[in-house]
Amino acid sequence: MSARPNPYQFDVIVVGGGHAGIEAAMASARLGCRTALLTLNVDSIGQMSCNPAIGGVAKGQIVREIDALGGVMGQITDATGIQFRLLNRTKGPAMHSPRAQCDKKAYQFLAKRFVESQPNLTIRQELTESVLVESGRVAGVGVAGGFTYRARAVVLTTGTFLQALMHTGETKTKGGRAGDIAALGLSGSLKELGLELHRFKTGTPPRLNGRTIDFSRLEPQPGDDEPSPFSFLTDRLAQPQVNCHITYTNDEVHDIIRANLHRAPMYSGQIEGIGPRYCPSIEDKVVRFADRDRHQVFLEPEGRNTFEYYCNGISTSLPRDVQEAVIARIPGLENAEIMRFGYAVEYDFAPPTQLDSTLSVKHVPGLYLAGQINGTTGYEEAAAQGLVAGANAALAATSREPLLIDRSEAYIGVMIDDLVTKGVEEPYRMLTSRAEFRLILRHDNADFRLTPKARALELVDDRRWARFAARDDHASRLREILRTTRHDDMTLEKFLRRPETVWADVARIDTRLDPAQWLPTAITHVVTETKYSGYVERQSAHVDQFRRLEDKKIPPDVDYARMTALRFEAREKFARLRPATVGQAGRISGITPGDVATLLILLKKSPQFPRVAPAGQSTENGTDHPADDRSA
Amino acid sequence: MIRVDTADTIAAISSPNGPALRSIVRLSGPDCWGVVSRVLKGAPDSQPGAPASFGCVTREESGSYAIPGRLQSWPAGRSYTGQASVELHLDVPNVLADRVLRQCVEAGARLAEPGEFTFRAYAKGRIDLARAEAVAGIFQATTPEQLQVALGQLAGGLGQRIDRLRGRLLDLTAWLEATLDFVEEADVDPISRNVVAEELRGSAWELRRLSEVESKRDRTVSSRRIVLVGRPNAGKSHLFNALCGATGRALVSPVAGTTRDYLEARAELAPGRSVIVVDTAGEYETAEPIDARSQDLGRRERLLADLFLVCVPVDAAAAEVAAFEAVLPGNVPRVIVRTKADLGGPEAEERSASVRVSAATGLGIAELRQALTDRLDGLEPEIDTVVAGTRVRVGEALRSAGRSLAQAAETMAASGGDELVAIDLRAAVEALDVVAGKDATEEVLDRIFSRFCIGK
Repeated sequence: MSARPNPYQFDVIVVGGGHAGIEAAMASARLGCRTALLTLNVDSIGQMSCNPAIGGVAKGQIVREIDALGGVMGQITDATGIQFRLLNRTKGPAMHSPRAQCDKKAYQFLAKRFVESQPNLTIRQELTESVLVESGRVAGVGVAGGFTYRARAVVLTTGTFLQALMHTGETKTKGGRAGDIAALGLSGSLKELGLELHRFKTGTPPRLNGRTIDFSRLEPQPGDDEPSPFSFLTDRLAQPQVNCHITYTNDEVHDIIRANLHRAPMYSGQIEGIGPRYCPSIEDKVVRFADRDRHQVFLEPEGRNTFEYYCNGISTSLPRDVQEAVIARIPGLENAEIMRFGYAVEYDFAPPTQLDSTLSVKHVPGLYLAGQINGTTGYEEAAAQGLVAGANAALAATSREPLLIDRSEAYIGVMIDDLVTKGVEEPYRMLTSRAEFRLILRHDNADFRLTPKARALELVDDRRWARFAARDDHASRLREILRTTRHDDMTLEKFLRRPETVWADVARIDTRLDPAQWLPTAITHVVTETKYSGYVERQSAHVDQFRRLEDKKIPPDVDYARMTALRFEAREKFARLRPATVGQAGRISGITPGDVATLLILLKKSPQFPRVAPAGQSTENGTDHPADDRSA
Repeated sequence: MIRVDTADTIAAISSPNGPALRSIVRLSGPDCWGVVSRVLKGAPDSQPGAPASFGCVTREESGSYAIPGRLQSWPAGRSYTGQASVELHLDVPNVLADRVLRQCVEAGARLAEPGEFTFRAYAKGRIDLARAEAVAGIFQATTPEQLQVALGQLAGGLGQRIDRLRGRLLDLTAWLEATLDFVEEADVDPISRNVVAEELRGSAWELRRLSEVESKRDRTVSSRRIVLVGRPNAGKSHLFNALCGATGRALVSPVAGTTRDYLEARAELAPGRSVIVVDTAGEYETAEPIDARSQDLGRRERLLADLFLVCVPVDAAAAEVAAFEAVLPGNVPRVIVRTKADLGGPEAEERSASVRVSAATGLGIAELRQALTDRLDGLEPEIDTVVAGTRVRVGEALRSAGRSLAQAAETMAASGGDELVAIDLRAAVEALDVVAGKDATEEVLDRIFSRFCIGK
C-alpha cells in the first residue's frame, strides 16, 4: 500500500456541486469521512441557477437551521449579500424571515473556496454515469471515460440535470441549465436499481442589461438599515447595500401572453412535467388569475460587478419574440435589452417516498438523494437536504447513529417528513403553513433547537459551539434575573410580557440587565421567548401530543401482508412506505383513522405481531381476498 | 377487548333476546359462505356476486332439526362490515337459533365479540366513529325518539354539520396562511382583520348551536328556537305566555360566565310540533334606541335563534319594523307581529308582511302558530340530539374547539398577529377532527365497541 491514498477510494461520494452537494460534501467531511465531490463543471460549484437571492418566508428560517447544524449557506450569504431584508417584520417574531440578494458570482466563488478549503474533501470534475451496487448495497459510482470511484455511501444531488430538456417556445435544447449539458446516463442506472422516476419542470425569467432599464420610473426597494445576518457566526453586516426595483405587468402584456399561449410549451403539450404552483410562470399567472390586471415584477441586481438584472415574477418559456414584446411593454423596461431569454427546464426526479427520514433510498442501502432530485424547489430546501443526506451518509459509513430531525424541531424536519411520508405532487417549496409548530420554529432560536443535537454528532466545530454556549449562558442568566426580580408586585418576566414593555424598561429597573453587559442576540432571544411565552406553552402541549405518536416506533421488519386486520389499501401503503413511527403512518395520504387505530392495537396488543418471514417462506396465508376492500 | 383480527369468520345471534318467533344468525368474514354451505342443505357452491336472498333449510344433525328460513347474502364490498357477510333469518326463536349458531362454529366460524361486526365496519372504513356509536345507540334505544336520534346520526347528520363547520374553519385558516406566507410575493391580498373577526364569530355561533345539541341530554323533541325581540312594552311577555300556554314550563338555564336572564319555554305550535320560545324580556327591557342595543342582540341571541319573532305594537310606526330589519342578522328568518291588535291602530298596513295578534283576546294567535310552522318547515332539517356514546366524546371536542375559537377571538381583539390566531384555528379544527374519529385512540375504540351487544 502506497503512502498516498487511492485517488478513487472514498468513504462518501457526493455527486453534484450545487447547493445540496456543497452542504452534503461539507457535512460528510466535517464528520471526518474521506469525501469526494464530483461535479460536471468545477466552475459552477454553488451557482445560483435561478434568482440571485437566498432566504425568504420559511426559506430564511431553513438557512438559519442549516447554519445551526454547521452548514455553510448562511456564512456565504452573509459574506456575499448585497441587500438584506427581514421579511414579515410587521408580524410576530415567528414570521420574521431573513432574505438577501447576493452577488451571484461572488457567492459562487466563495462557495468554491469553502469546499476547496475543507479538510477531507476532494473535488473532481467528472460526469457521473452510473451508481455501482454490489451485494445489494452501494459500492461507488462510474464516471465518463470508464473510471470507477468506490465508496461506502453515495449522495446524489443532481438538481435539474437528469434527462434535462430546456424549452423556450418551440425550441428544445438538451441541458440542465442554460450553457450546460444534461446528465443522460444516470437516470437509466437509477431505473436499473429499481428507482421510480417522474418528470417535473421549473422555469426562469429573462435577464436584462441594467444599462437599458429606465430606473427613474421605477419604485426602488432598499435593504434594511440594520440588516440581520443569516449565520450565527456573523456579528454584524457592514457592507454597502444596493436597491432592488419594482415594476408591474399590465393588460397589454397579458393580452400578448394570451394571444401566444398556444406557443407556450406548458400549454401546447410540449412539456409533460408538472410545474410549481407556488412559483408559477407568467403565462400561468395570466391564465389562473385572469381577474388581476397586473403582476408585480422585482428587478434584482445579479451582482456588484455586472449590470445584469433578474426579472423576478415573470418566469416564462414563451418564444423569444413574445418575451421581447412582453418586456417592451413593461414600464421602465421599454428599451431594455434581454441578455438571456427565459426558459423552462424539464427533468427527472425520484418520488421521495422511496426514501427514509435519513434521505437514504429504502431498498438500496448506502444511496442517498438530496435536493431537486427529490422533487423540491429552492436553494435552501436543497441545501438542507444536502446537509442531512451528507451527514447521514457519513454517519452510516462509519456506523454511527443517524441524524434524524422531526417536525417539532425544525422546518428541515417538516420538509423531510413531508417528502418521505406524503411525497410530492408538484415541486415542493417550504411554507410556514406546512409547520404545525410554527411559533417554536423561529429563525432566532434555530441554534437552541439544533446546535446541541449537531454537536452531539460532532457536526459542529468548537468555534460554533463556543459561540452557542456563550449565547445560551447569557440567555439563561438573563432569564434567571427576570424570573427572580420583582417589580410592582410582579416578576420582571411578567412585566416584560406586557406588549408595551421593552428591554430598556427592565434594564432601568435592574441595572444587572444593562444591555451593554450582554450579548445583543441573547437579549433579543429572551425578549422574544418571554413575549411569546403564552402561545409557545400552548404549542408545546401540542408538541407533546405529537411526540406521543412519534415515540411509538414501528419495527422495520413488520410484515404488513400478514396484518389482515388492516384494509388492503392500508396494508399496501404501509408495506410500500414503511413508516418509522405510528405518527408517520397516520400522515400518509389515504390512511384513515381506522387504519391507525387498528395499527396501534396490533402493535400494542400483539407483541408477537408478524415479522417479515425468512426468505422462501410464504407470507400469503390468512390474507383477505382483495375484493374485500374494493368498496369506497 | 376487541379482536382486531378480521381475517377469520365470525358469527353471532343478532336478534334480541326475549320471546319472538323468528331469529337471526349473522356471519361476516372471508369464509362465511363456506360456513353456511356446511350448515345449510343444498346451498350454491359459491356466494352470489350481488346481494341476494333465498329460502333455505339447515342440515339436521344430532341435537338439531331442519330449520327453515331465508338466507340473506352480501358479497365483499357490498355489506355492512365490508366483508363477505350472510344472515340466516330463521323461523324459530333464539333458543333454537342457538343450535344453528353452534353448527356454524363447528363449521369453522368463531363466536363474535361484542361490537365486533361494527368494529369491522369501522376498521374497513365503512363508517366513521360517530356512526359506529350511532349503531350502538340504535340497539340501546328504548323509545322511538331515541331510535330516531340514533338513525339520524347514522345518516351522518351531526357529522355533516361538523364537517361543514370544519370546512369553514379550514377556509379561514387557508386565508390566514396565505397572508402569512405570500404577502411579500405581491399576488396575495392580505385578508382583512374584519373579515377574520366576522368569520370567527360566525363559526363560534355555529359551534354553540352544535354544543347546544350535544348538551340536550334526553330531550329528544325539537330544538328549534324562536326568539322574541321588541322594544319595552311591545307585548313580548304576553305573547310568550299566549304561545306557551299556562303549562309552559320556564326553563331558565344559567350558563357560567354569561347572564342568560331570559325565559325559555316549550310551546306546541301544532300537535307533536314543539319548539322553544325565548323571551328576551329583562335583557332588552331598556329605553335606549334600538340600534344602541344591536350589539347585544347580535352577540347573544342571534346565534341561537332559528327564527326571530319581531314584536311591534300595532300602533307603532312602520319605521320601527324597518329599524329591526336593519339590526337583525340577515341569515335568520323572522316573522313580524303587530301586537296589541285589540287596540286598533292604523289599518293601512300591508297584511301579508305581518301577523296581527292580540294576546289579550287571542286574536291572530292561531294564525301566528301557522305562520311560524310554515317558516320553520322551510328551514333545513334540524339535527337532533346525539346518542349517549357520542355525546361524551363530541361534547369535549366541541367545548375544546369553542375554547380555541374564543382564544382566537381574544387574540384578534388584542391585535395579536395572524400567526397567533392561526394556531388557535388549527387547534379548533383538530378538536373537530376528534368528532369524526380522526384522532381515535385505542382507548376510545375500546370504550365505544365494548358497549355493543353481541352480534352488532
